[in-house]
This record gives sequence, structure tokens and C-alpha cells, in this order.
Amino acid sequence: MNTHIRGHAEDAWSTVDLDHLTIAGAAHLFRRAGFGASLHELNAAIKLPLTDVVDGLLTTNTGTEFEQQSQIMKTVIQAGNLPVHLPAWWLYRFIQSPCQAWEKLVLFWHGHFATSAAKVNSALMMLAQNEIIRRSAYGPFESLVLEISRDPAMLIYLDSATNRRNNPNENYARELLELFCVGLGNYSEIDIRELARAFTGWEIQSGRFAFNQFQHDPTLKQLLGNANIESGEQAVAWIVQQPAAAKFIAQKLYRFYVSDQTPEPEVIQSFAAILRENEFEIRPVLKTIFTSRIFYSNTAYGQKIRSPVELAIGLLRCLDATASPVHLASSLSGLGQSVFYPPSVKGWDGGKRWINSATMIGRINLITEILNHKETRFVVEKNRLDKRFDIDDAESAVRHVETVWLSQPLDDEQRSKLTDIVEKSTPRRESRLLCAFKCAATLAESQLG
Amino acid sequence: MFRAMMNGSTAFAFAFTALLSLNASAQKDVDDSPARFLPPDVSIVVSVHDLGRRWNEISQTALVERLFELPQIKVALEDKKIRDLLKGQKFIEGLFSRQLPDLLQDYTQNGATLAWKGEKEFVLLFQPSADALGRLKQTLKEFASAAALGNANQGKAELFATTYRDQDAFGLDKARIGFANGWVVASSTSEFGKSVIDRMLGDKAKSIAEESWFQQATGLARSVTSANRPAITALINVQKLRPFMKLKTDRGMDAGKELIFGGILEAIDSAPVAAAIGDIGPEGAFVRIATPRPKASATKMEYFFGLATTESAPQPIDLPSRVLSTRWHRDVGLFWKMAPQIISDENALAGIAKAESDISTLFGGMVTVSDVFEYLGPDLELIAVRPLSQTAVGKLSMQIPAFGVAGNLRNVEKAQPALRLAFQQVVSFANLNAGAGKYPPLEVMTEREAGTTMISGSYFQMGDDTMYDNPAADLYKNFSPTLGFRGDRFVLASHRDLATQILNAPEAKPGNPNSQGHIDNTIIELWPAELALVGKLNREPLIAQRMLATGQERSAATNEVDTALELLKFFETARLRLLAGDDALVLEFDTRLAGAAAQTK
Repeated sequence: MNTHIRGHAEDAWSTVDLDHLTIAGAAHLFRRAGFGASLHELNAAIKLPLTDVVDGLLTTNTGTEFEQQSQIMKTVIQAGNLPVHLPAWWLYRFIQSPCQAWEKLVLFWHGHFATSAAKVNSALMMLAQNEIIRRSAYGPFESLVLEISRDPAMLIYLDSATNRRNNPNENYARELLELFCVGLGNYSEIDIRELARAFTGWEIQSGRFAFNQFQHDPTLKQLLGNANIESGEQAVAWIVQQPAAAKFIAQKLYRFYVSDQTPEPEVIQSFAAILRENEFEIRPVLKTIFTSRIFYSNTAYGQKIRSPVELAIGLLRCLDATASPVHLASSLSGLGQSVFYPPSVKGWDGGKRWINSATMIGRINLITEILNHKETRFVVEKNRLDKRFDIDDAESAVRHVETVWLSQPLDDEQRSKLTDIVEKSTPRRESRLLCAFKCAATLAESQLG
Repeated sequence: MFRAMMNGSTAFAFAFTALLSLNASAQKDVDDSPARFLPPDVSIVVSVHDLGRRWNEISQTALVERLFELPQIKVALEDKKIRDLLKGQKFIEGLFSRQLPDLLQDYTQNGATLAWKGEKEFVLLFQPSADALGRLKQTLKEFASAAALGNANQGKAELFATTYRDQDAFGLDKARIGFANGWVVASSTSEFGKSVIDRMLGDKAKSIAEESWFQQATGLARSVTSANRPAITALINVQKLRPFMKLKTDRGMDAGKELIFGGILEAIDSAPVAAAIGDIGPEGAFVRIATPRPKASATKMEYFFGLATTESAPQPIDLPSRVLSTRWHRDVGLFWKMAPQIISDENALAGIAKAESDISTLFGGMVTVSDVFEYLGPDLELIAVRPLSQTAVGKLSMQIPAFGVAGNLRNVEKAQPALRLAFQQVVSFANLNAGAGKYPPLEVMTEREAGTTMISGSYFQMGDDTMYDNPAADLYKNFSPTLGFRGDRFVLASHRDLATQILNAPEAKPGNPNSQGHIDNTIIELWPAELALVGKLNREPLIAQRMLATGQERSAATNEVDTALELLKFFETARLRLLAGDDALVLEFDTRLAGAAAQTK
């Protein structure tokens, strides 16, 4: 894997010296920017210049027909007010959306501004929040924070709707500083109280955001060293300007897209500077990540544990397959990741927290379950999956899995053992590819993305 | 070549006999004549008639033709197992130079009987035409000769020829096929086959025909059909089957289900025998399952059926665009009051007590559930019709059928105020919840005109309707809950227009006993073509739900939904009935095809 480049803090974010990606590099890019890609997509990607591939990934043009389909599903869920069907709707988008990086980014912000339908209990509001995030996912960050601060689902989730002039509720203010913008150690209890006052009167009326001037405290607030803050809007703008905000968001983006491991402080410092230079526009920042030296180095390859959603959707994307979103939603919930239902306002911890003795078995079983499920459908050629991907024998099946699914290459001994198991497990050619995926699921490498 | 074909096809020969086991034997009325050949320890006797003729008739209908055009059926036909089965069919057809339906007709025109003792012991008897009998015997001889000439088939069982009491017979492993007096006897074991042939050859041995359970089941079968040769008749010794079928005998009463099905579930649980009759043709199909009406449960059933157990569920109220009608003759008030005496399950009783308390609280404590139920007469109908709401053109929304419960009241002077009060209390409670802003509040209106009283709630309109401008609010446009009275008639409906239609319709006539003297106790009737129209109104939501359930793209989901809706149109009615007679309880399912579906090519 000659694309592996050692990452150094000083030039971590400089553009990688590659005109075209190798197949392994393309698989890595599609796994991280989106959820994964089939061999056909990867082969197409390596023929294009890297910047073109990244630009293509970062588009938001899903096509009218796809959005119409998605809208109809949303309407059905809203009409029946069925929050339990929300995860299935989003999983459908994950599987089918042509803009994989956009969906992945929306998932990132959903985990960041974590809001649970379990408390909000309104499909309409949860979908509206998802739409806000989707609309502002690529930035600027300030707009996103402002819209989220006015979002009815968030107002309910963090009790902002009852934030009154005479009795300010500090819940949202605390989380905005601690979890959404600057992080622990970068604010005081006084800042929380002052910020809560700035948000007083931000209410919900008839299911929509409304500003109630009679419940708003109009006096000036002293927030993070600025004594001139009157409104919630001014407060948000001031918070996002803090140097700590850039560093905080840089850290979170790094963990989500590059590695679960904590990097050298300089790596984050320089990445935060890029965020500020781009005025918190996220698209150019993501482009920097996906064309950077560090992204194609050993610092990033195989350095993330797949979340349950990444595991399931990645498998389907690798195989050009679709599955029952309702069924997937149920399985993923059992593994600790039910989208629209984050476990707390902190979102999902991610990294090593995804894996314990119970979830490890569940994650292996999930792969077999998806591949065996009656609603899982594969695009085939001449009625055969193996023909679509030119799988001739057990070895080519294993190599295919290695290319599209595993983030790190197998050594010769592993490959030989796996081939042997696939060979012995199924004499039927058409079954070998799926068998190889099921066998590979038991390898630790399968858990890494 | 022949040998290779034969080795692979002995299995097919037996698959053929298994196919024949779906058929039956020669009788003039309900099938009992082969019973004299069957030993008394048989537990199930299944007889079929004229399957070949029926197969031919059904396969000519427009419905079957359309079914085979469906992409899903085309895909299913590509399945390896189905392809193997079709290959087997081709092989048998080639072997006998006849199409399978004609072959079935040759061999089962006089009926065929399958008898089962338990475990893996069964015997199949059929009396083919002389030609067919000769062809079968000749074919088996050829197979057996080829097998005898060949080498041992690597330990696999081979067909062999033998005789029993000078009659031709053939064997394969433990299974046997014997011929006697124009009958063919295929059995899973030699002993079972011999015991049947012994009786055919005149041995005096007790047969199942002398068994009381068989006679009782035969009587039941006769009591539920006037047809001479129904497609299928099954006589079942339920008592004997319990250990095999793991039937529970003391599962306790499921109060909800028993209330719907009039206590028949418990009766079926304790039934000693059962008879099932089924028939199918180009016009439709039916299945009837009959059990003796247990004397011990007669008192209990009064609580379900009312004291006058001879009364029948009402005939349907004649409304346009009906989708579903469920009718009962059920004394709900008596059941509710006597629940502690007829229900032994403590959890069910606790559930009833909680429901009593919760609903009475909902009624504001001024009326109890027992009061309301006591006022309801025993003839009830739950009816659903095509959606009555108006949705803006081009606006995506779910359109739910309007539904209502109608019946007669006892003690009208007291009943009407009590029901009105309960209704108003429920509306008030709903409006309290509406205060949370999730749905619009109900505005209540009372209308009195020419002996009719209507209390209806309609969802509050907010001018330009922006207050609840979301699809969930659109859902509420399907509803304007209404309680209506005219004389002793009452209706509680989801929509005011339906309540009006029901009260204006001619009063439902009382039901009559059928030709066998059985009365309808519960009838669930569905009009699939109307259901298809409701589905068409909700096509987009159905497609979306299918996409969420399967992950398919829109085109595939659309195809599935459209296919299902199109198939529904082929059926005129589908009906489930519970009938009660003095001596029998009968569960019947029947469906009739719409004219276009039944048309032949």
C-alpha cells in the first residue's frame, strides 16, 4: 500500500503528492467521506484526478427524483407522527443517496448537536431539525449554530422552550458552550448564566420557533469577556468567533474523519487555523482533509472503529446492495446506534466505546444477518452476484473483500486461511463472495474503517 | 439411458403419489366408502375429488392468467426448487403421455383418500379408470424390472416388484404400492398397506367406519355441505391428535378473542372431533370447519350469544362503497357483567377491571362502562366505507376509511343521555390534549331533526389553516367523530357523513338460519375491490411504506403496491363467518371472484 505516508504535524494538512488515487486510497476516501463504495465506483474514481473525485463527493445534488422519494417517505412518517420510523427513513437515505459525503456530514452534525426523538416525541420536529442540519451542514458554522438554537426539537430537548426572563433555564446555554462550541475549560458558570439570559424568550408556538419579547431579558450580558451582548444572535456570533471554538470543532472533525487516536496538539492547531481561514465554511475544510497528506498516511488508515451505521451501510455500499431500513434500524439500535435517538446530549462516544464483549458478537452477527436477510437485494449480472464482480474462485472473492471492505491489507497467511475457509464452506461459485464477507466479518480488521 | 432416468425418477414416481394424495376417492355423498377399508386406529381421513377438472377450470381464469404475468411470479418460477418441481412435472407428463391435470383427473375422478395414523404412517387409496390403472401398473413394472437388471444403486433403495395375497405389489424401502379390486393402495409401511388390502379382499376386521368419532365427524361434514363431491373433506380425531399436534387443553380464556369469536376458541380447544370441507372453482372458494357444540359450554356461550341463543347476527346495512362489515349477535353487557364467572385468567380479569376504571374515568365518573354496555342491544355492526375526507388535489395525505359501530339500544330513555354524556366527556378529554398543540381541538355541534339526534365533533378550522399546516394535521381531516340516534337505533362513527348515511339507511334486517339450520353469530365481510380503491387513494403512502420496509427504489416498490392493488380487484368478497347450530359450531371462510377474474380464456 504505497499510498501510506507518514503524517507529520508540520505538513499534515498540506496536499498529498498524488494525482490519482490507488484503489486502496480510493476505498479509504469513500469509507471516510461517505460509507463505502463498490469496486465499480472505486475503479471509476482512480481514473480521475484526486481533486475531481473529492469535489464530486462533496456535492449536494442528489437529483429531483431521489428527493421526491425521500419527501414522500417523510410525509408518511409525519402524517402518522411515527418517530419510531425516523431511523428507517434516514437509513434509506444512507443506502440510496448519491451524495454520500453529505449524508455522512449530516450524521456528524446530528451526533454533535445530539437531539433525541425519545424526548421530543415529534416526527415533524425531528425531521425539521434534520432538514436544518442538512441545509447548513457545509457551513458556515455560525448559521448552523443559530438555526439549531432556534430549532423547536432542540428547544424541547434541552428545555430552552421554558427559558423565561424571570426564571432562566441554563440547560441549553451549558451544552452550547460545553458540547457544541468551545468545550470544557473555556467558559465559566457566569458565562452559562449570561448566555441563558440571552436566549430567554426563545419559545415554540404552534410547533414553530417564536421570539417572545415579553419573556426576553433585554439587559446587556457579559459573555466570554464581551459586555455588549444583548440577544441570542449576538451571543452565538461571539461564541463562534472564540479561538477555542475553532479548536473544538477541529478536534471533533478530526476524530470523525481522520482517526480515533488523539493527534499531536500542533496537528489540531494547524487544522483549527484552516477552519478560521475558511470562516468556518465546512466544504473547503473537508476538501482539505480529503486531499491532505495526513489523511493518506498511517495516522489515518485503519485508525477508526466503524460505528454500527458505518458497518452496516458500508457493507451494503461495497456490494451495491439494498436492505430493509426498518429491519436495519432495529438491528443497529441493538448495537447502540439508533439515529434520531442518540443516547444523550453528548451524542455517541464513538471509537473504542463501540466495542465490548456483547457488541462484538452482535457486530459480527449483523453482517451475516444483513447478507442473509430476505429483503437484502443485490445488483447482479446474469442472475449472479459473482459475475457482476468477476469472482472466479475463493481467492478472488477474498481479494475482493480485502479491496472494498477491509481498511488494511491481510498478510499472506491470513489471506490463505480465509481463502481455505471460503473454499471449504461453499462449493457454489455464486455463494463465495458473500461467504468471504461473512468469514471476513470475524476478523478484527473488519471492525476498522 | 432408461435406467439413469429411472434412478432419478423413482423419487418422482413417489412425488407423483404424494401429489395424488392431495386428491381423493369414490363416494356418492360425503366421503365414507373407503372408510370400510381403513383400520380403526386412523386419526385423519382426507378425501378429494375431481382435482384435475378443477385444476383445468381454474387455470383457464383471467385471475390465474394475470398471476403468471406478475414479475414476482416470474422471478419465483426461476427459483431452482420450483424449476426442479416443474422438471418433475414434465417427466411425469412424458412418462404417462398426459398433461398433469388430465392425469390427475384419470386417477382421481372417483376420488382419492389419504388416511393418517400418526407419526409417519399414512396410506393413500384411489380408484382410477381401468386404462389409468393398467398404465400405472405397467410403468411400475418397467421401473422395477430396470432396477432389478441394474447393479445395486450404491446402497440407495430401488423399486421392486412383489405380490401380496396374489395381488400385484411394489416396494421402495418401507413404502408399498398394492393393487386390489381396482383400487390402488400406496402406504408408508408394508403393514399399513396390508391391513387395508386385507379388508378390500373381504377379511372381516373392524374398520374406522364403525368408530364413533368417525361417525360423529362424518355427521358434522354432512351438516355443513349439501354438495355431493366437495373438492376436499377432512375428518379429524382431534382428541387423538393432541399429543402429536401439541394442542393445549388448558390455555385459559383469551377474553378479547373470545368476545370477537363468541367463545368458539375455547370450544375448539376442547372439541373431540372436527370436520373440514373445502371447494374451489372459477367463481370462488370456501373452507368450512365444524366441531360439535359442547354441551358443557352452552351456559358460557349464553354470555357471548345472549340468552336467546337462537338469534342471528343482523344482515348488513346497505351502504355504498363498503370496505368492511363485521356483524355480531353478542350480548356485550352480559359478558362484561359476568366476566368474573366465565374468565378464569386472573390477568385478563385484572385487565377488564383496569379498563372499567380507566374508561369510567374518561367518562368523567358519571357513566360507567358497564352502564354503556348494558344499553347496547345484542345486534351490532362495525362498518367501514371508502374515505369521506376531502384532500386538496396534489396534496399528499393519508385517507383513512370512515368507520362506525351501529346497533340498537335497550332502555332508550336512559341510554341516550348516558351515551351523549360519555361522548362529550371523551371529546373534552381529547381537547385537553389538543391544548399541547399537536392536533386541532374538536368543535362540538348538536343537531336535532325529525327524530334524529346527531352530536358531532369537527376539527377546528383556523382560517388559512396555517396553525396546523403539517401532514399530521391533514390526518385529522379524516375524522369528525359523531354519535347519532334515531329511535332505538344508534351509531358511533369516525365521520359525520357516515353516521348520517347509516341512520338514513333502511334498518338492518335480522339474520336467518342457513339451509343447514345454523345461525350466523359473527360475520367479517371484506370487499377487496373497494379496498383496492382505498389503496389507490393511499398509493403514495403505501409505496413510501414499502420503500422503508424493503429499502427498494421507488420503481420496485411501486410495482409491488400496484400489483397487490390490482390483485385485490379480482375478488368480489371475502367472508369469515362463525355459525352456531344446536349440535355444531362452524367456522367458514369463503371468497368470490369478481366477474372479470372468473372469466375464462
